[in-house]
Amino acid sequence: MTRTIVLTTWLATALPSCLRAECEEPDYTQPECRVVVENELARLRTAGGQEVRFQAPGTNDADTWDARGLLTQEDGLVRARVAGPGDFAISVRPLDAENPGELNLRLDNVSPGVNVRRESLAGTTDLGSAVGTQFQAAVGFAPGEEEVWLRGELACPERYRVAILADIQTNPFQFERVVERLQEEAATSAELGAPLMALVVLGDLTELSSDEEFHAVEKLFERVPVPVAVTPGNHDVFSGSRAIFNRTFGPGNHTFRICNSKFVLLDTGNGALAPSVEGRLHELLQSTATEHLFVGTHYPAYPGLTGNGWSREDQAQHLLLEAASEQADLLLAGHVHALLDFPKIDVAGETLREIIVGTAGAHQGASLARYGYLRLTIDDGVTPCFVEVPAPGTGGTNPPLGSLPNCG
Amino acid sequence: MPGVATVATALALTLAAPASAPVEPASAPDGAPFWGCSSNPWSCCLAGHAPCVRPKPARLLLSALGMVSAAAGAAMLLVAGERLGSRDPAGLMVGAGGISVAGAIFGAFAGLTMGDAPGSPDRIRPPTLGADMGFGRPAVLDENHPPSLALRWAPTFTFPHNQGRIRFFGNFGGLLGEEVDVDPRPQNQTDAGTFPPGRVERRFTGALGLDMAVYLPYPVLDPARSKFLGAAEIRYKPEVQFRRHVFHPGSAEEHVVSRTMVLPLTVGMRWNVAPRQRFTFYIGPRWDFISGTTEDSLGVARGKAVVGPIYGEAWYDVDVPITMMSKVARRRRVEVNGLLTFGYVHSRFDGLGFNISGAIGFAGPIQMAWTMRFRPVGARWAAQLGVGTWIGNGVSPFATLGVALPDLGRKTPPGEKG
Repeated sequence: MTRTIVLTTWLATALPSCLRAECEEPDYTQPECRVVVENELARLRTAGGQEVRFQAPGTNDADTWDARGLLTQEDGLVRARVAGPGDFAISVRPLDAENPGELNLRLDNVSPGVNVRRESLAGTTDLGSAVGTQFQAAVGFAPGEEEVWLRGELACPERYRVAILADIQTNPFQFERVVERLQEEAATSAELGAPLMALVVLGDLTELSSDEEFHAVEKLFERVPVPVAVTPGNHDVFSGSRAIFNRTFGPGNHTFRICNSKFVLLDTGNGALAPSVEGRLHELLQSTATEHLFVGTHYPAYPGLTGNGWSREDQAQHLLLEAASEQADLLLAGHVHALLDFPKIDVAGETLREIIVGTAGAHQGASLARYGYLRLTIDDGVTPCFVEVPAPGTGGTNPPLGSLPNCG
Repeated sequence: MPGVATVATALALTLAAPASAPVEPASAPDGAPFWGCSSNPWSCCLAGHAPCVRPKPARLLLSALGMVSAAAGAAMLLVAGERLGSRDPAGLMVGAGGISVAGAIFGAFAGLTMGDAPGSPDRIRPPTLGADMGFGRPAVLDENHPPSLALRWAPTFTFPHNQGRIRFFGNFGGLLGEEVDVDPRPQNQTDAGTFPPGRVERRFTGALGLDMAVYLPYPVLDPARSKFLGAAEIRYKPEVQFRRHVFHPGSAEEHVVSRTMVLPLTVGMRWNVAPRQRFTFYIGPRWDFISGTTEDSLGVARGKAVVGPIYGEAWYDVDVPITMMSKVARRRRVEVNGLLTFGYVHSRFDGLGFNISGAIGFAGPIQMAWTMRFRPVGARWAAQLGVGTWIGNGVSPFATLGVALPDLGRKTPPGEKG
């Protein structure tokens, strides 16, 4: 009797949709559909007859691809926005070996100074280094060449910096001030021997997920002197039919390495992970023993008493456990429009630290706002501090948090 | 303005002609005249009920308090903001306030249509033994979302002289099978063009707790000062809930996530706004233990407790004494009672959260349920059946089945002497 009831209820709930594939009718407000589109946008069949694919750095298999960037084509130019700083790899195959054509490729959001080389069975050619965050290349095919790889390799300083913030939303003007501060930092940090390597923006780039807002933020990112890695927030995924975030910036779930650091950014725009991403947490967070590991999400996995937790607390706690298992150096988040530090979160006997840095410009409430960004100085260790970028007329900066100093 | 409309609706319903004739408070102790009863029938004591109780003003006060709570919570979140550390319990204030207002409005409608007269003393309570079945969410091709089954118990001990009761409750269960979500990345399609499994999980759930109620004397205040707005109870409900997730069972990637939510100091109150309607509220701190298998552990690695979000619940119950209300005059063999419940739980421990547009992660789920109790006349036991749904991250329907036995220390069902 019990089996009958179970089977009946199971069929009653499963039958109506069991014939449809996941995201067959996409709704990009759902995280799983954004996983589909971010992977589809990492591959492009060009009008000129080539197939271009983002790949994991270090791989040699062009039969697959990885959501490591965004590929678009406009006016004959193929634009490849690399999702994060550091090394990258792009494979190119002609669709017609007899008429391979030539690919005009512009690489965006690359690390300044990254060395780009062309690889094929015929050999390797050094194409030069990126000046700024763009690199342009014309990729042709020698007779018989079936596959060409473009690889970027970044030389590693012993000490470097990464800037992190979140929640631009209704105040892009304040974020513009932060960008100017980052321009100053990029110049001074290089002189100090700890160059600024990347800016990580942990969601809520926009308020209403509109085209205008995404375009405006994209333009602001072009002024940042280092690559910008992003993941969406709840305000970035309102559009169910257009996947605007992914079409503008590429993947929301991605990893990248800068020297001895691994960054894992996860799309929590719905206050949850896509189930397939949760199933891969172990694989995504795996890092070597000598690597620093940083996990970035929009929603803080540990909310404390902020009242701003994940909609799926079970997934948040699963992420905390995986981060503890890999002894992550830092959990980074936004969403809460404040600077908060939780230095001792006990998970399975390991101590995690989480810093919430929703200070890019969004409304913070009825008090003197604290705008700015978190600076991580990374060598053998990780030293965080906060760079405050006050709004004009505020007459000074806020006192530091007890556990997190202001940068000197 | 929704708030004004809500107040207007509540006022209209409470000021409507009562189901029973207004009664001057001859039932009030000492025969003291009750304020305004002769000119405002809605404020009179309920006819035939002693001591006096005034459901309409009680519901009005409940809705007003709910609006204040919700408005204050919203102000904390939106005006005070996060820079000032505006945090919990703002979300709970909004959710509980909403239940208060919705309950008061629905209760007013129920009072208008069914009356507020006392119902059967054999009202529905959690069954002594029972089972809950949760229906899995709709699956897509190659996915599996099995239903869940939990066995539950809630024996109750009633204190002498009807001064209160203590209930020992718990449940244990889990998914009836493996939950499978596909990996929809297009590059990973199988040769058949389908998606491979991306996430496979077995899940076990459980809870243990204690629910103690102390019935306050009614009226609490001196009768000359009391407004007779209904009896109240003090509640204490410590509880622990645990969840065990086994991911990718049977594979090389198998690992366990064990989560425990400890609620040792949950307190609350129940307000009997009408003989057949109740508002119940709980609040308390929460601590979580997040444990599991890690790279370095040989088994499940435990850890220390971490502070979790504030926990809270708010419920509004409406008794529907079906047999009593039946106009059919015949000798019945089974007495049937019904209970309509809706409530709010400020916790997303099970991944259920009530979200509206971009407001995600602030609120827990809402529950709506209908339960019926069938007691053969003169029997010591009763059967209970119920259906309901959680609303949060979609809709999660469930069904319950149980048997109600006499409370510990009692030999007969409620309402009978002995």
